[in-house]
Amino acid sequence: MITDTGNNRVQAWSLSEQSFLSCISHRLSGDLELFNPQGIAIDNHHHHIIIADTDNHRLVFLSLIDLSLLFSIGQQGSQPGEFYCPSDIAIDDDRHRIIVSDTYNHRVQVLSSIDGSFLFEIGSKGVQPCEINYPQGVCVDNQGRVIVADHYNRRLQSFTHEGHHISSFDCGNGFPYGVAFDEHRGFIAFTAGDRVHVIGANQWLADTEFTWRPDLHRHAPSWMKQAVSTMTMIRSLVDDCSAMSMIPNELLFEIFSFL
Amino acid sequence: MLCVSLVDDTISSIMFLSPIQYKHTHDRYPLSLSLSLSLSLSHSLNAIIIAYRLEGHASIEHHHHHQEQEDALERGAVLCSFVDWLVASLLRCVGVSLVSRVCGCVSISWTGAWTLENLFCLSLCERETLEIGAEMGDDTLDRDARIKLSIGTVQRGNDDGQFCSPHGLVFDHHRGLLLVADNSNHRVQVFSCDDGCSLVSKLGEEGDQPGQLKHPWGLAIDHDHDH
Repeated sequence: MITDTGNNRVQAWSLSEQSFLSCISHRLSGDLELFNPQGIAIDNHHHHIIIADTDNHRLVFLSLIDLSLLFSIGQQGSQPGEFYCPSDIAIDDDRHRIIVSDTYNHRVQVLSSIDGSFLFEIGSKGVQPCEINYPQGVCVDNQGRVIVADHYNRRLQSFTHEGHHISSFDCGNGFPYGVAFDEHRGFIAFTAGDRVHVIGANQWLADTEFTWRPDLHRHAPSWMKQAVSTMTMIRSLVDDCSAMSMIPNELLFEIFSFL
Repeated sequence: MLCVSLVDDTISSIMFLSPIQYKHTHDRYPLSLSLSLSLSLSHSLNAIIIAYRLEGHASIEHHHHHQEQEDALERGAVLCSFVDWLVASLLRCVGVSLVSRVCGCVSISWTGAWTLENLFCLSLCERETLEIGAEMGDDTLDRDARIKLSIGTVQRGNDDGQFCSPHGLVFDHHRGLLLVADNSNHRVQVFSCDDGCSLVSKLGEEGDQPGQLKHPWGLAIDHDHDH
């Protein structure tokens, strides 16, 4: 799905065939008229397509099955559940949440993906850690951490799923727009200036768990599956063990020399 | 093989070099892997640095068929990334034990990378540093968080792989793709994550007809319905 912002519409393309499929809401009158739609997200759990209808200050929910209009939420304002030019949306499937960057209100709103109701908000205008200046893109990592492209502060900011600030990543000279997380490789990609940058999530946010599984690759032989399951078991044992320092260095050297 | 070297007063390093020769019994393509590990004890930083490098090579010279070659290379890459994953897992197990032993900052730097990152950036042999043991919210992490890879040129442009004000982007986890909405070029560029972010294809052109784009912003992928 591509938001064709300049044409006020959303297009569906087939990625496998690289071909155009259909236009949604092409200048339809009435409720579905989009005005400068920017962000888009797909909520597979509830079968919704959610569009940030930026200059109408609302979120539009479409059915993922037949692309029909379901409902929209929000109006212009700064109260909870109101928006002022929302620009991007991310879905936290595990917690049934919609995360919206409410750009001109300098905050990120967290809504329930079940009924769209307001849960809480993150940030206020400013340059301090935890403060946001025109947030653009948002994404959620595999632990529910919210990563926000803090546009005018030229940084990415990360928050826990409870909304506590974790840390910031300085984007240098570029103003970041979009941000995306790749759970299979543990990458965070963001657009800034006229480039796309990729950072290892683990280099910024400690303890990023990768769900990438070498054993599930189509070329993975069967012994690899066994090795991965064994290693996963060892890791879980080590993680569970409170006395982690009990692993002697001699064993470490033995493991390394074995490799 | 064990090498001990004293670089200067502050860093003494112990290196393990152990080539792994692996013969893949299930198919005919031999693959050689070499793995080198180094442990450095930095007294000035009060830290232990573990570095490892992994290099893989798939021998494909006897195979003329293009698809077979690609498969062999991909198998080699999967094996490399698997060993990488294994080492990363071991280091993680061991790294935690080192935290308590040194009672200071422990950094693991590696020339390969965590899991698939090695596969992704095999050509980028930069040293990268990861600090573990720091508290969450510790902003000293930021200094070591560096950009791993950049796509595009400093100057904007409309050639392949260049951008003009890119906005939204999304990863396709299933196919290993990165899609970027190239806003002011009125197109979507598709990159492959698995071979150093090479351009795979472009979608759209400027216009207001169906199938044409004007300032695309957001992207989303619906895997169940292929769009």
